[in-house]
Amino acid sequence: MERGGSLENAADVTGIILLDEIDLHLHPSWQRTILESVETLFPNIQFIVTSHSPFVVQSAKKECLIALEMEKDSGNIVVVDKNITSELSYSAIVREIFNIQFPFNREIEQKMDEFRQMANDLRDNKPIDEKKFEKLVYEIASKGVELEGIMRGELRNLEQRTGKSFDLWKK
Amino acid sequence: MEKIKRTNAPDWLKPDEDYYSFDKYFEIDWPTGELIPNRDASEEDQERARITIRIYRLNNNGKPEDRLEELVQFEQMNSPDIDKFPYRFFIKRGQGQLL
Repeated sequence: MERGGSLENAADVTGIILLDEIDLHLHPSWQRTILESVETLFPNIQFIVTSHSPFVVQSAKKECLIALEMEKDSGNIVVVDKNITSELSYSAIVREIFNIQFPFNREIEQKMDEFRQMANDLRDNKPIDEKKFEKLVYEIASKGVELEGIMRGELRNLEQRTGKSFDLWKK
Repeated sequence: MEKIKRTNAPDWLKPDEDYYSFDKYFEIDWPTGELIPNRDASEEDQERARITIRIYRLNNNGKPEDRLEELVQFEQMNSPDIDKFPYRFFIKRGQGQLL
């Protein structure tokens, strides 16, 4: 394609294009389709792209995915030795490939850490501030139905492990 | 030929053996659906749980999300037959959670 040429002959263009952070500024629904769009538009171009978007990862062919990470000690960028696949839900991609374990925001994660610490103390028969514990459970559970369900599960597990009753919803 | 040395290193768990009980070795991380070693178990049993999770890839390939999804489907059905569901151990512990 000559400079200033028409996109009508985009299929004739050959070469390799490097695209850094292909998902930048795109709505998530477009992040799901951007790879397919550029591949369709330029079928004879090899694209090498980087992305931090689970939606882009999900839309890539699994044989085309390479996960990279920075080594803590050396600072070197290395290929992650993982059997990664794009055939997962985006939440599984976030957890397994991007290593973000907790699916809610940082504030809730911190409260959950606090809850876990108190729950562990209970399991170790250490004294806890019960009013604070109860308040913390309500605080987390009241943020939405997902978190309410999670707290039910956590309290049920705690009951099983300690033999104590924590059915705060009955109060 | 070099002899293979037997070690006393912890072995993975075999759920069809008599000693096995889910709650003895594992617990559930409810926010993610992942299985984690029971923190109250002995160091050796926790290591066995870790080995089992790793070998069977129990927290990979979307299995935790799948467990949570099966629980949601179970909870949304009228009179569901638990024997028709996968992850029954998980559903039993999560029953009533979404009420």
